[in-house]
Amino acid sequence: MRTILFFCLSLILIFTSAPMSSFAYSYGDPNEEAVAEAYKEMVAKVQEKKFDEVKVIYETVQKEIDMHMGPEPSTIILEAIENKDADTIVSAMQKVLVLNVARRLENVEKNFDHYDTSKRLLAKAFATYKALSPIVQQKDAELDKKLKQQFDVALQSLGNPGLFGVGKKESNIDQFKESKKTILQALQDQFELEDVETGHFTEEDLDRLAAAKKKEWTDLSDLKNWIPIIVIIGVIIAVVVYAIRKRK
Amino acid sequence: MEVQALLITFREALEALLIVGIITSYLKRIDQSRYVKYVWLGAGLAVFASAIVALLFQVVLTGFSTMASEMYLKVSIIFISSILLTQMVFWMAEHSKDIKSSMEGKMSKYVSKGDVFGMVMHSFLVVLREGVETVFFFAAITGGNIGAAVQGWGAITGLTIAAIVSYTFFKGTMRVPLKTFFKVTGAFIILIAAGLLVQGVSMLQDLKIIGSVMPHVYDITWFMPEHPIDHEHFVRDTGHEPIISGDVGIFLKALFGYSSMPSLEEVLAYVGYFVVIYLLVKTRYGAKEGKKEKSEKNEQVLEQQVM
Repeated sequence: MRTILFFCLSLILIFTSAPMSSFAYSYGDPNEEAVAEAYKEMVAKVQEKKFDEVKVIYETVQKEIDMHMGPEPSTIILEAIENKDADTIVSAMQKVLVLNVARRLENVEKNFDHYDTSKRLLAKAFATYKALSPIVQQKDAELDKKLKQQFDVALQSLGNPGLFGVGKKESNIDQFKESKKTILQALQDQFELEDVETGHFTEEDLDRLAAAKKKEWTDLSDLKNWIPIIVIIGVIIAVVVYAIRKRK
Repeated sequence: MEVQALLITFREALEALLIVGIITSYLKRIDQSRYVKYVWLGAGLAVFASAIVALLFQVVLTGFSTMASEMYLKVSIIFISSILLTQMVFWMAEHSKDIKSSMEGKMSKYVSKGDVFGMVMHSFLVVLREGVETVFFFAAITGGNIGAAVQGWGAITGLTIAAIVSYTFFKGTMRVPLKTFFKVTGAFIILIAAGLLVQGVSMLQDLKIIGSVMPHVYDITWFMPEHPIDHEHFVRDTGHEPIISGDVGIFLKALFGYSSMPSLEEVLAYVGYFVVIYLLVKTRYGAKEGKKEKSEKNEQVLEQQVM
């Protein structure tokens, strides 16, 4: 009894005395960006003319967009959804994605010395670009190739702290700034933005960076979403039937 | 950073030592202490394997396309651990069926080479899982310089405290009657295995490998968030603290698969796991005869369940 008490007490003591600061969320794909995923789903639903669903999907990322890019994008996009204006929805979301690339790259620069953070932020920037890549490719295939290459150069420029001296590589901030400038300039021209250097990007971004919040919206018309629950219930029924038969 | 490293190593080491402790005290109580060293060997090899994994992710898999590979590694380890722990439950159920309730202390029991191999695998995988988690947490708190966290005083202190706590704990269990020991540890392992299964399902859903018809059945983040980040977000959004800290939540998540906002599939898999295990153990070991020929079928069903 005393040992159990000791065990519980030490647990309580340790978990209450020193609150841990945030770790990067370990779950969720580092190569996936919520805003970019929402964009892809929205484009699909716009084509099906299901504007109610477009709105539901947008609302899952609205808070993040408002926080980092100000209220303007949401005003434009929600109004376009209301008017069922497909072109404005898509083009406004593309601008949001460009701003998102800018925001992620900006924060890579601010956290340049924190390899683990900067690497993940850069992956998020690249994931965002990948959603835009087909459009860039259509207009200028050469540019698309060049931009992808610039993301690789940017990744190289972060260096690598290595492990116990193995695989250590120095970082190069000048090279990173160069890549960032090339990428943002090209995107600004391609998607006709007046300015990508908005002042809305906040530091708060950092602990959210890999926050793979489970999505709140699900597409019930998609058969894929039904498979897990069918399998789980199927297995339970199979075992129950087996047990009942066995007992007889 | 050192305090964080201390807390991480303490939590991860304690989780691993609880399982390894169950296995070793189990072996001691069935009078098979000579196999204990192999179990520790498995644990030791896993520490070594964790270092290799760390090196792999830190130095080799650094491109954009390979960054997600750590997630796939974690999902695989989680499901394999869950299957192995489930198998351990059946193994314990079979061995415990003829223990008299009055019996205390030790009993002699024959264990096959396969059983020993299974136990070594358990300890290897559980330590590997916690080791890999530690590596990724260290990468997060040091900004990628994992070596710095390992070399500091925090890591070694956390490990020492975890070792002392679990040693004291298992020392105490030696006085508990054998029947009770079997029951309690069996229940504990089932809880862990169910937790792992649910975490696996949750990760597959986070990675969008499998879908969901209802991503959130309920949300009790106000009571106890499942992660310190959820805790912070809750405070930011609502302005007040949850009742129980996210630091406790993440511990319960890692050990028992706690989730403050589970999907319908997670809830069903969790409840279903207990139903399935209960029925299978009852059917298999509750009845006196006809258990052998069905064992293969049971394993197939279990595999399906976990897939």
